[in-house]
Amino acid sequence: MSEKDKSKSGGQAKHIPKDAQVIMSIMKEVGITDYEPRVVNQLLEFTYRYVTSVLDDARIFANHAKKKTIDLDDVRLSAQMQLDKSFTNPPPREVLLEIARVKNVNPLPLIKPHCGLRLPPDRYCLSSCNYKLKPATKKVITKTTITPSPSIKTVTTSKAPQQTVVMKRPPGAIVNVGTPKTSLGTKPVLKFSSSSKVVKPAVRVTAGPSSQAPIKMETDEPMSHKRKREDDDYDL
Amino acid sequence: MSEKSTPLLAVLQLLRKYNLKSTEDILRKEASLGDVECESLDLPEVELASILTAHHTESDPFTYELAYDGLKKFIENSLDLYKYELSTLLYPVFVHMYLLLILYDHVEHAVSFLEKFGIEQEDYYQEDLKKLSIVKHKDQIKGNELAEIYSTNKFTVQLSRDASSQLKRYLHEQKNSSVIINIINNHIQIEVHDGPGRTQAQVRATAGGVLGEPMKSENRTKVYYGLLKEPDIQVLPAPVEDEEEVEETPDKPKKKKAKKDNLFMKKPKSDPNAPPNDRIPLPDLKEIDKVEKGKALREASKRVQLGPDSLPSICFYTLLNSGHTAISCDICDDSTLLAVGFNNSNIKVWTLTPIKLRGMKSAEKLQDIDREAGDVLVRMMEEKDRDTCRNLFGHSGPVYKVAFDPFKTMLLSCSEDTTVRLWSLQCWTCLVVYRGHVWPVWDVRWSPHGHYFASSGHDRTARLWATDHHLPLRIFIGHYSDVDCIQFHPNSNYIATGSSDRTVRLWDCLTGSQVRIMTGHKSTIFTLAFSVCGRWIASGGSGGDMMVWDLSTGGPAASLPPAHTAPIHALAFSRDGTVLSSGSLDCTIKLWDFTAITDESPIEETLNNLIPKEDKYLLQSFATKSSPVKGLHFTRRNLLLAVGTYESSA
Repeated sequence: MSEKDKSKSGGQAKHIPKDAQVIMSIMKEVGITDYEPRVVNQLLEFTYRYVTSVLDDARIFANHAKKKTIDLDDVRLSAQMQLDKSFTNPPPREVLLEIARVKNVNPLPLIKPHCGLRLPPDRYCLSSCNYKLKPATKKVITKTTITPSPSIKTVTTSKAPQQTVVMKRPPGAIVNVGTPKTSLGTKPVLKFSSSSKVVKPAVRVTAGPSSQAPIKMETDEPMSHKRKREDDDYDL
Repeated sequence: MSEKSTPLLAVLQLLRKYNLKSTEDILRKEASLGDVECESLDLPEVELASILTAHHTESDPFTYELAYDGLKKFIENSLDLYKYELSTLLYPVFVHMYLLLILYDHVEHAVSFLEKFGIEQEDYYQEDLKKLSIVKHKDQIKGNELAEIYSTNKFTVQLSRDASSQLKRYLHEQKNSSVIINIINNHIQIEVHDGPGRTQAQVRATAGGVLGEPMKSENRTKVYYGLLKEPDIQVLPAPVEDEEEVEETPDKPKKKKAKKDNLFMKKPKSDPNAPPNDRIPLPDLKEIDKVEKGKALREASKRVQLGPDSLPSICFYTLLNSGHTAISCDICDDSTLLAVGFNNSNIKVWTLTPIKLRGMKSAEKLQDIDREAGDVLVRMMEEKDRDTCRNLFGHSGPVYKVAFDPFKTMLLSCSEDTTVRLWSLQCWTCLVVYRGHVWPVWDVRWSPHGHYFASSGHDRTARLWATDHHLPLRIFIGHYSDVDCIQFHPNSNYIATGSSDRTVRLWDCLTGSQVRIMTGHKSTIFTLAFSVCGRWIASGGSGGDMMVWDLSTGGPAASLPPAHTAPIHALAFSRDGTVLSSGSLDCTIKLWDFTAITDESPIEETLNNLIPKEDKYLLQSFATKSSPVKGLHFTRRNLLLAVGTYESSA
């Protein structure tokens, strides 16, 4: 397969070029008899790409070593690098046995009584709130008045338009009401609740294009025994 | 010279290992092996040992052929008693001779050796030989998976005492050619067992594993294959009177009332083969689960008794327009939901009853519902959001397996994108992504008691997870090749895996160690099923062969006659354990008489028995038009549901 397949491009309909014949014989040797004819073309393309990249890298290595021509070692090294990049093998058995030995010694953890689904800690779940970026608007931004609360700081801007709404949620306000949910809010109501930790989210709010009324914002007093989820603002 | 002498390189490697720098340099100078940059053999210890012991025969490749031929003739001429057992020795000797010839650079001899004797090997080894034949140079040995397996591990051969003494006598006579002796010493493990030589059928039953048969010591651990004691469930408004299960305290057996069938006639004394209930931590049943279990028991009481005279009815669900896209399917325990995984990474869940699938209400609405109401679980669903089919998006590769949890609240799926995903069946979104396998995951199953699940993948491992841990709890290592299928034992204490190395292994969840290894399949194993009582396991392979194993000994209980002509992808036991159904890609479903298969009474050798025992096993065979069978499931009332895709092309 070292000769370049110029004949591929100029191949006549009746004759199969030599490289394609080589591929077909390889397949026959491995035991594949049932394949579509396009597979041969795909394999040829792959081989061409692979060989040229290996030889390119080999030339770079030869140049680096200040050699005039490509050497066997260069080709070997570049083939090895290519292999490591694209194909990795599963770890050898000894490594696996060692890992298993370490892992299997720990006793199985007891199951705590718990209502609802038993899920890993929240950061490993996909139960966070969904974000969505709203497109910016040209409308005048209304100043929102918020009841001052120790946990929320709002910044309103009178800048025009090319801003998008980014709503940050206080971390740790993830809810487990038994099962997580997807929310479908139709009204642009923003509820902010704070967890028992004092957090200061920075919120910039700009009115959306479809806002029928100025955006209402309500805050809840921190409730330590219950964590609330807040709705997202979805443009429908 | 471009080719460096193999034994000298082996010596070099040994010297390097012992850090004898100066000796190494002297050797290099004397043997004119060139500079330090020359490559050295990167071989495992065993191969080094074999090279160094056999070096004096290296120059003579003809001895290999002669030795092999001699061994073959000796075996053919020996008594039938020993012939079949000794013939299992031929394949490993052949493989290692080939590898040695390659190692000593006698490539042409190796190729001719392979051609001459390769076709005589057993048919189930032919595929392996094809993979080995790619190795044509000693540098390629390291990269070839199969060659590595053979060069680093010993092949096990079981011989009876007489056969092994015959073999020893023959080898002793072959003083001039020590090739075979060296191979046996270094690469083959001969286990001698007391007892008569095995017949051809017996030998064939357990032959086929990639490294030969299991050693006796590997199958000696005690396996608790009994079922767990069921907790006390009161079945209240039932047409039948109260049925109380055996209580957890084994003190006094409760008197049973109104037994409909043998199901409720549990042994009042504890089963010696059953594990204690707290061997592994299992989740307690919640109130709602107890209600569900009561319902299940009531349904079970109405089920049809199956047997050779009363075969189940089969209801076949055909997936249209999905011939090349639907990969896997699962039906939940109460047979109301069907999930299908596709190769475009979708998962679809259908309802099989008129009850539609509802989504959960939004957060604000959820706040308004009365949490103390009896039907809060119905109220929390959104009335308007109902559909017969739900889509689950999230994977980024073909979904190879889907599995419903026993309580119908969650769905697990595994995919080629190396993740296992947990989905909620109430919100219809993905909850958790379990990352751990770095290669495609082929199978994922729930434990029958919920909370635990197991996955197996291309990285030759099987892992035990719990839904509330993001890392696996146990890793089961032992297979030599991809683990294609995995299954929990009914008592959740053991996990069985089947692999491309043609072995079925049983693992203990408590310790993570392998307790049983069963060889005998002649091809990759695609599906496993435990019997209802937990003592047997049935496995189906890619050649259409099925085997049933007895877990108490680890030996085959029966080798079913080859009936399927295409890989078997579905196996299911009826709920009372009397009928085993198998579905395969040859578009047929076959029913087998499981009580006859595991019937341990001795065969009456009467001449009136014209039908041999094996043919009585197959009860019936049902063929579909052209729908390969992808899944089988017995409902609680013993109706068989089958799922397949319709392949419209001829």
